[in-house]
Amino acid sequence: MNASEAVSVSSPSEPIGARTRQVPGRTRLDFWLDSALLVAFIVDYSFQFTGLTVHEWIGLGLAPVLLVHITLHWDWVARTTRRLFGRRTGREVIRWGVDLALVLAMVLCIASGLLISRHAVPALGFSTNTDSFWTGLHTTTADFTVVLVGLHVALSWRWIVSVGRRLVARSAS
Amino acid sequence: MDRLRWPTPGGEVGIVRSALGFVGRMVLVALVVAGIVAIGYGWKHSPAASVVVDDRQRQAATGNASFNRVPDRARDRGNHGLSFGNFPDLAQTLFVEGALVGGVVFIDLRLRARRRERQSLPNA
Repeated sequence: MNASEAVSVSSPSEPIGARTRQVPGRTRLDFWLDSALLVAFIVDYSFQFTGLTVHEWIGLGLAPVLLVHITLHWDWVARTTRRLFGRRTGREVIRWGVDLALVLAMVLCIASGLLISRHAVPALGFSTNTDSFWTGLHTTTADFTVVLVGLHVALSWRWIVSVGRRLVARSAS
Repeated sequence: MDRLRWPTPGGEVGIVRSALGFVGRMVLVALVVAGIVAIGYGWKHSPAASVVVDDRQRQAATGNASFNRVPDRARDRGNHGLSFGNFPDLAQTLFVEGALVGGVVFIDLRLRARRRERQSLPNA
């Protein structure tokens, strides 16, 4: 997700104002999916607020959404990884590092959460057991993930503001 | 159809192709995810497992008496549904995320302003 993805595709005959306000479907999908992922993660991390059962079901729901999120941005991952070996900016290296750490932490967090689940996964007919390693890994990676999610969002703040503004302007007009 | 006889992206065949491409990428991502989970399993069986292992649970399993004096975050979660009485927990997470985002945005704006200042200086 970056600023270049937010560039709208419209015909040259359209007035300039309409072109800047138009938000492509793919960008809208990215924006709303990413927002849902962020809100779900923030609520899920606050487990005193959600309680264990809701916490587990949200976590279970996060897994497929995360898979779709990474798939949608796979081109960016591949492109930036290739560029790391050639001409690159410091910002790109930081973003790539944060994103790699976030994927590792979030996947381990969700996977360990599923393995120690007491309500959601057993309700689907799978047996789980409490294990001191997976429990420890779950809480440790969750704490890392909350920091990395903040950095991940912050590094895309210009894209978020740009798309958010255009979506608001579009709904207002 | 273009010169390479590929169908135009707007057609039905184009939709099928992009859907297949998406599924292919998703399979690739699933493999990466499986690799990360495998790293987790490898970690569990390595000496580095003690870095993250939950000591409270291990002590409980071995019957350590001091276990009950240590608060266990996982045990204290409760089995309730959404508890608005515990809203401060959500507020705390929001504060942490907001502080992180705000901090990075502040640093980013400062760096850009400094770069702009440097560019606007006349060459000596």
